[in-house]
Amino acid sequence: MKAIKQELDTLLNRCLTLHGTIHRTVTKEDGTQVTEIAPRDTAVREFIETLAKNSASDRELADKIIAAWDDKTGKLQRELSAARIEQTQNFIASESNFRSMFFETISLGPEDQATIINNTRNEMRISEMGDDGTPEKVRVTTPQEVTTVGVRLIASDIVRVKTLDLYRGDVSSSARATINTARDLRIKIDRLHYNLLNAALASGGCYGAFSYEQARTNKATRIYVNHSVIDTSHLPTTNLIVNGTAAGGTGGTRFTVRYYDPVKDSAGSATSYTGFRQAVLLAIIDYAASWGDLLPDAGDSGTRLVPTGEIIVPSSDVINIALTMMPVTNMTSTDIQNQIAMNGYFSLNLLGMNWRFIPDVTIPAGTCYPRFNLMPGISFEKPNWHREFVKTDDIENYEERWQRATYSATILSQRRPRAMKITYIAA
Amino acid sequence: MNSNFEIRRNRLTGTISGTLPATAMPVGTALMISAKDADTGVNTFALASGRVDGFVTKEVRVGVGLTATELAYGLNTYPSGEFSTPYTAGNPGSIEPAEAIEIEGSDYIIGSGTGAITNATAAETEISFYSGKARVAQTNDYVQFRLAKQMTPVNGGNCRLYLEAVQTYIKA
Repeated sequence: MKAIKQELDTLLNRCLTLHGTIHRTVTKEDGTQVTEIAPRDTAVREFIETLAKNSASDRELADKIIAAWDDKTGKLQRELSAARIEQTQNFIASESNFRSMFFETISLGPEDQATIINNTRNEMRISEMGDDGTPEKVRVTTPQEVTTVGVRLIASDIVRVKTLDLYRGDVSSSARATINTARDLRIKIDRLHYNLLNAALASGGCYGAFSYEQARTNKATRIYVNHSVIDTSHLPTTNLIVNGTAAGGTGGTRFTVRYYDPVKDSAGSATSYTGFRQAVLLAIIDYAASWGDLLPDAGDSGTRLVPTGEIIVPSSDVINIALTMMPVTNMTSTDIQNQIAMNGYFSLNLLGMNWRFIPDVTIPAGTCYPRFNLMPGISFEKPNWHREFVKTDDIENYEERWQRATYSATILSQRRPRAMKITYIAA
Repeated sequence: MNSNFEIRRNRLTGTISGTLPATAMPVGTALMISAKDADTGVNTFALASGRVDGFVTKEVRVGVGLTATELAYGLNTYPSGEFSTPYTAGNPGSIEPAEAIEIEGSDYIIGSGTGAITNATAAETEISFYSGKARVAQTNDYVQFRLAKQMTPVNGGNCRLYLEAVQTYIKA
């Protein structure tokens, strides 16, 4: 028993040494209250009683003492201390998912070099002939464009922490607890993909008029080379959709966000010519439907571009779609208004789609990014190069850590139609 | 995460130990070897003036260990934001030479008087140290750093400098 008491005395003494002496408020005979330092024996008794009250069993009590003794961060010791300290922090971070939502990921081996070959197909001329004739001949050629995609290495700063404090022992875990290099590397890689999506077309970006490529001599570098039977006036001319203007009329100009929202207020006036609104959803459906079933680079017979219903929206903009649809006083409510009233406005069943608005705090207000069933970008990675480095120096008592990863991404011209960027406020 | 003193590139020679000055100073204060014991080889440090040998690796305080308040609350850090118990002034400590440092504020930069450095001080200005702080090199100072770039300060109104080591020479 004596050995256990000495053990506990030593533990408490350590606690007291680390955290100061215990103060208590006592009432004197004259009724005044003073704060005095509690005697050590009193502190030991209070410590044991507190520990025992909080423990359901002897085993649990023993486990607590052992954990507190071994705890180097001080968290458990703080819980045993008379002073109740609650720590907080005010650093905020947010992850966004542009890479996973808009880029197809391909892993490369250490010796692989990413190369894109753009081919185009040919249309056969079909014509009538006599019953004893032969058709004319044609030679097959296939314009081709070969592009090598660059790979870059990104790395975090080297974080250097001391591993030995003469008074406190190993303090490195406390320092490391304030950083998250993997998170920051992940966010940076996602930002690089977001920046590529929004770069100028000449810099490999995704959004802009398709005429940028369509005028090229080398057919293989164009957005599409159409079969003669296709009426190209149906096809979208851009995937960068801007807010419409009054000049476009109530019908709106194609491939803009309709200026006059179809939802009218109680006075019968068109409303909501700015902000995230139903007209944005119409623009998405119109764009996808306009491609028909002949989206380029999706197989010989083409594939339909289908909205998934997910739209990345600046978090402060989402509410506008509810404001344009909420019931006005004394107005008969519609199904959509009831839907919003019952289920909120982050998901809507509208125009035959289940829409889901994903609020994002990392993108500027006024612009949203819908997702489709196909992705415009390709992201290459070389996992062999993704590493964390740790260097420990036991002589000078420090540790250095850093991480690196590869970044390689491209947006093919032929795949630009698979994405849209919509601005729903006035420029 | 930028503090007012950062070593951006270390020098491979490692830290230098010695006896610290008997005054308190923040981490990263520039020190020089002012004396060496002829028998033991133990260095004595002083605030860098005209010459710098390294930057102190931890805060230096008068008095041993953490304060009673810091002990009582059991925090792993103390108000300066460092994670280690500070050196005791007048006791042994270490300085760290550097190839490139980033410094901000009046603890590390002389902002008025002789050799004052301001936001307008041009890149490539020759830099030396005086009373442990960086200043524009004066005649007979050892020029060991140059001002590579004026950086964006963490605290508005401050001056934040990126200094890179140069081949040492004495300013004419």
